[in-house]
Amino acid sequence: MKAWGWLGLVIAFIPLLIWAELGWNGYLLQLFMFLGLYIALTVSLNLVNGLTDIFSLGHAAFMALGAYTSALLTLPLSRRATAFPALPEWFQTLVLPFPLALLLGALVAALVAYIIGLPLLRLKGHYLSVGTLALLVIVETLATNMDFLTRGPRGISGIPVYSNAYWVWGITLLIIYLTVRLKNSSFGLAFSAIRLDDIAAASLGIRTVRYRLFAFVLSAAMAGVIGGLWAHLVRVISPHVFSYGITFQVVAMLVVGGLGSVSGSVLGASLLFLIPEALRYVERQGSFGLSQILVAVLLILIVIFRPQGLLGRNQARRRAKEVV
Amino acid sequence: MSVLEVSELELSYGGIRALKGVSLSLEEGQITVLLGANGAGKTSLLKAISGLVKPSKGEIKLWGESSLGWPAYRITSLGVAHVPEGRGIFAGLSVRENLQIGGFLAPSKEMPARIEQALTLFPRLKERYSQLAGSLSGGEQQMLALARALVARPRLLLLDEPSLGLAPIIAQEIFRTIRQVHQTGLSVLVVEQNARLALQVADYAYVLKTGEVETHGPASEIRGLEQVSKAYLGVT
Amino acid sequence: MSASYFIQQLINGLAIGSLYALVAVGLSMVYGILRLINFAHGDLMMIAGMLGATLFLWLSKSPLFLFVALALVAGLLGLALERIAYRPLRGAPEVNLLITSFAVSSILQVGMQMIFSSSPRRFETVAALSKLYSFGSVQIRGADMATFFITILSALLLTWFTRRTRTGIAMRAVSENLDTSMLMGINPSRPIALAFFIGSLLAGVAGVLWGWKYGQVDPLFGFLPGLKAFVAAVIGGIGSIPGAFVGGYVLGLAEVFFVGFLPPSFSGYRDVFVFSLLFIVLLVKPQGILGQSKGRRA
Repeated sequence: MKAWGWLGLVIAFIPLLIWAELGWNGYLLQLFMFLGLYIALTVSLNLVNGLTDIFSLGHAAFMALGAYTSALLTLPLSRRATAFPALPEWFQTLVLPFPLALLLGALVAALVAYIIGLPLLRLKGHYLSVGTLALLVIVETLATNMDFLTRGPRGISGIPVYSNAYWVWGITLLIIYLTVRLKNSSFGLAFSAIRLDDIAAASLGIRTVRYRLFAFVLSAAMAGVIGGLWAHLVRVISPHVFSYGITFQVVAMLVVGGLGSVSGSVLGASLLFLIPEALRYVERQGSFGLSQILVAVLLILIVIFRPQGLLGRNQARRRAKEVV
Repeated sequence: MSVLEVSELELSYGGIRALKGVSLSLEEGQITVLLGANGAGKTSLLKAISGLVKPSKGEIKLWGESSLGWPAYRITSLGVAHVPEGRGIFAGLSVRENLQIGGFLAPSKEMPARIEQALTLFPRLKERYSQLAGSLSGGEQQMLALARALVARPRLLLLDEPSLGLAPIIAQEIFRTIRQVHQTGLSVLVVEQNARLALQVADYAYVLKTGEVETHGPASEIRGLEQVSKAYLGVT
Repeated sequence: MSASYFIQQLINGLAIGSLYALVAVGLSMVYGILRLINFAHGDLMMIAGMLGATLFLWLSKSPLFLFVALALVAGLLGLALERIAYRPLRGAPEVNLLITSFAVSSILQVGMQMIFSSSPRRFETVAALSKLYSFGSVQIRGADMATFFITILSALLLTWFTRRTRTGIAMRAVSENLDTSMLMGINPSRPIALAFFIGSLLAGVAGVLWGWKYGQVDPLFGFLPGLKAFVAAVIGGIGSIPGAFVGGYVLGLAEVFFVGFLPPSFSGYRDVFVFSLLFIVLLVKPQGILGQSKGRRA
């Protein structure tokens, strides 16, 4: 898509956002914002899992880092002394504006991704996936236990509501834009080369480690921002929110849509967010869990019968060993 | 009846065509050698015969029966033993276990006798009997791969570059053994870079070039062909 | 620190290590053949535990029968999952297998929550297992002793099976090189199904032992131990059956000593410790203690 195409898309979106903010009821508006967040999560995960040879299961960890950072830095002063007595003086007196807090959340997530990524990205395939999952467990355990900073399993409440449709969708569109641009840039081409053949790419002079790290860190920063938006939308965060549940959900959205396809991510996230939402009504009649099972079954069927996802490219990725 | 009849076989990996209509036929009890440069499709042809890769077109008949599309383990049960490129021994299994797996389809009663017979061909394996196969030298590993194939008592033996990476003396020993087992009536199809060595023991030869049969004929004739001498025998 | 405190910790470590080992075996066997990290494996343990908690009242006359029956149920369930969810994916990219196992895990967890609710259930035990036996100043619970002996027995049986029987050797061959093992005439579907059956059976055993040890189970209790058992399998050398046992005990002991010898305020961080250990092993010695170093394991 050309630059004017993007501009057109944004301009077309503005009336929708204004309408949503002013005219929609609370439930619909919430739904609309969560849809944006899930799309952003899926697209940002696609940047790593779809465009590079990394398959991360740790995206929620970076969300958590962003969410906690942003929540702590914007929390009203009146709540701090009682909730976080152990934290130093500057924390008790400093309230940051929302955009700055979001940015710092992204920075923290990116920094952790960088520090962990340096050794972690030397791993490959499954081992790397398990490594990212280990990161998720570690972050969750730390959040549960570092009571002085996170209030442990009770979580942080009273986070001011700053997220609105403009913020959420503005950032979602920005993430989509960045990801599409990256996919079509020389970075994107290098990524496809790495994904198809690591060693050949390295011999062509593509510095695989640097490129993988770049994608990993950028994707983590995006997740950090999304985590911040999330916190300022739901007002209460606790460690288990950013755990396997959401990891699995986003991975499912990504795979259903199609690894590597940005439009696929948007479609996958929309379907897998809206279908269960529609089923909530049925669930309230007493069959709790139906939507989760449905998502899981759908995922298995897609993986078996349409492994490239709904809009994914059909190309040979690294294969598990051929059997029979 | 020929042991193996391959006709118009085509095979591609991704977009690359490895075999472009190869036909060949193997006579009972003969040693046939498959010559050709790297990338000529020799290994692909062996893999297609033993069922490790699926051809896109053509026909493969073993003892008159079409085996196209069969899984490798089913082709093995017909009496085909394939010693793959790089020997394919199980490094984490002992020599004994490798030999036992070679006779996976054999009745267990016959196993000791079969292993004993394979070991008399390669006495050095006897000394290494309970060692891990991964700890053997390259030559010993090749012997093990061959011995393991023989435990299956095959009717057709496929060998992929048995001399690769071996000292000349060991390579000759391997070929001497191939000659020896062939005398029991076994048919052999061997892929070999060392054309001089292979043509000494072979009855018949095929020359493959970029996925096609360039020429074929009795080994003695092929040895005399000018293009073969130049390309594979180092005669200028 | 007294000697008896040390021995007590050692025993605790062996008890929890036994459970990790039993779960790790199945993960390791399946990974060795299919390169599948089976996230649903820990949930088979959970299902055996939940069914045990539900059925015990009927079967309380015979804990042994319950034990065997639940192990078989878990084994057969593992076999069924292989058939339904994993077999259609043979030859598909590794990631697809990984995602499928995540989905299967989710189905099992949510399904059990739908059937039994998510609240913990009491796992009935028998007097001999809940009793504390004293040896000097050291005390051992009956359930822990049973766990330890059952694990050692399983290790011995499995080692015998994989070293001495034709099927067992074939299983190791398939795990080492699938193509070549087919050239030997092995139909890999059989060893794969067998690996799922044995692994799931042992996970079921672990589920019952878990219930006896902790006295309660819930539909989510299997997932984290499943992950930790994978850590154990990696530590021991993934793909290696003896490695899974060694890794289970190394992890169990490391975890218990981490908690036992640091100030109590650190005890909440035990999972940080466990998964940092995974990082270190992956980076320093990815082939694990007993694994073979091979390029293709990457």
